[in-house]
Amino acid sequence: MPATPANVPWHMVTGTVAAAHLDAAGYRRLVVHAPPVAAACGPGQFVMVRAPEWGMLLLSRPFDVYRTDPEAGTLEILFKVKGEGTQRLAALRAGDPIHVLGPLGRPVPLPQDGRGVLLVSRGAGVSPMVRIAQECAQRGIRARALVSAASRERLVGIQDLETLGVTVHPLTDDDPAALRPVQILSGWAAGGDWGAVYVCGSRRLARAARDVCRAHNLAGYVFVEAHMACGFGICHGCAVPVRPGPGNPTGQVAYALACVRGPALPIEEAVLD
Amino acid sequence: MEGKRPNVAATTPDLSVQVGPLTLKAPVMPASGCFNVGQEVAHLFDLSCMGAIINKTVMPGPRPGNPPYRVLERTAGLINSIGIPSKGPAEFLEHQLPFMRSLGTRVIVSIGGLSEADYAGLAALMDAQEGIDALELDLSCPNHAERRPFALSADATRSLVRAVRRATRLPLIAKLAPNVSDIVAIAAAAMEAGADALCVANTYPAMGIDIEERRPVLGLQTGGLSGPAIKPMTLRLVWEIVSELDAPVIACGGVTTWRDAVEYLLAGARAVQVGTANFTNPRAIPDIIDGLRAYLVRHGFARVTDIIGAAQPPERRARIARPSA
Repeated sequence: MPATPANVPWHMVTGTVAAAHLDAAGYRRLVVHAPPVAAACGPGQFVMVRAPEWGMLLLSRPFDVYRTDPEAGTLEILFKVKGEGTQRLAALRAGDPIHVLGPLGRPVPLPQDGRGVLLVSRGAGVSPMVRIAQECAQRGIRARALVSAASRERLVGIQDLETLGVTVHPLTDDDPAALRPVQILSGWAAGGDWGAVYVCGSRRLARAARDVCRAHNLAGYVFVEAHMACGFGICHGCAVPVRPGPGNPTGQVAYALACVRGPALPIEEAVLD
Repeated sequence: MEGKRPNVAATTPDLSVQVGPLTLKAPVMPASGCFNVGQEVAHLFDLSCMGAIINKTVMPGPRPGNPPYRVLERTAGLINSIGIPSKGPAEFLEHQLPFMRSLGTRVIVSIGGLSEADYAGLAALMDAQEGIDALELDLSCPNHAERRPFALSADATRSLVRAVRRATRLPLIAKLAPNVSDIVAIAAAAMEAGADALCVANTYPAMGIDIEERRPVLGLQTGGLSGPAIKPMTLRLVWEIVSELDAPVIACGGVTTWRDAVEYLLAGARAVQVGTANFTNPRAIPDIIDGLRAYLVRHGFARVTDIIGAAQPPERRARIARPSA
């Protein structure tokens, strides 16, 4: 696999909501017109977002970018409404202004040797997978996705993945196979020519992906979770532990900032247990 | 200040201030630890507009910082337990100090440690460098698991500042803790021991509990509260010190907009530091400088020093306005 691309200069803009969608039970998707951010946003990068009316909230909220359309100047974010921040974002309608910082973090590398990619996600974790699938479609890289959710109504992103040519395997918690993600992924890994696995939204799926990467000698990248304040490296709040490796030469577990070293880390560097 | 407007409207008011021996081109600078040294935002605005650049506190040796979670949002505030991750002085001197020196503004180096010897050693090391205008002594970070902050005690503050004073001739700014019963006594102790100015103050010890998981949110349970929520409290601390002592004060606590900066200056602070606001508005510092300038123009003040201490009773104002104060 090629090395992880470097961070790029980010933009601070007030964009406009171009459209607001309800994609599945509780999942909102905003299409945001923010041309410089959309143009610069690589696969796996994220944005910090806030609504102009933010009440007594302080911090912007981080979202992995779902999809970009540089020609239209738009990027999309997908989120589940959880707290006051996502409630305020969910209330935005087409034409409303929205503050955006981005693109932040590092893009994920993609195979350059003709091998395909496996995309593994749960819930809103499908966001970076759609953006990666977009990149794969442009570069002619095959992609296959495991999209997990608690129930059928909560499955999200599947149509958009399929439109991008991805073979999608939905998996809900009522399916007995949901207990055995390693089996599913191992079957895929054994039966095809894959170069890398990307996983987001579930620690359990991340562990499964790691095991499969080890067994089949695949590169893996996991999107890490952290409480984040700034998004661009000055607050040092979003520390995540990283194991010793090429990115951590200290020989022991150290901290990396999810915002500048991530949001995706090589799966062997992440602490998942 | 009605009736005191000069005849000629000041279109470009003089923003320079004197903080003890330091002349600053503007009374606004970042708060240590909330800006790195500005490289991340250098593409957004001209960093030379700031009155000074201050690094994230350099510690005597490498430290990983505290375990996650390190930050937590609460009403109008941020609670952090970062724990001053540091790569140590060698990395600071090689990579950060040269960048700070290149910015064309005052260079204030924040140093920390766990013992008087730590501070004195770092002070001596910085004393031997070119292009450092002052040292800020972080006596008040609430997030060291190893020891309580020096600035919680007048005696510990006096003793530490004295030890550093012997190690360097650089101007010293003592960064005090807000959670004390007698801020004036501790401020006085720092000044008697040789501090040239005070930074008032730091975060307020605080915590949050996750009610679903039924456990503290932060990795080390407690942290320090910053942001808009603390400004009225820190404003009171600045007011008390300026009222009682001849000590130049740099205010640090919840400055988010130019209005906050003006309030602190009216209370008698000679400059302000901007911390948490950088996280939510990376252009906060130039925005505050622009807003302050517009305020001075609107009210007909030719110099920012005209408003320093202007909210204080008349009998104190002349003393506070003296540059040497």
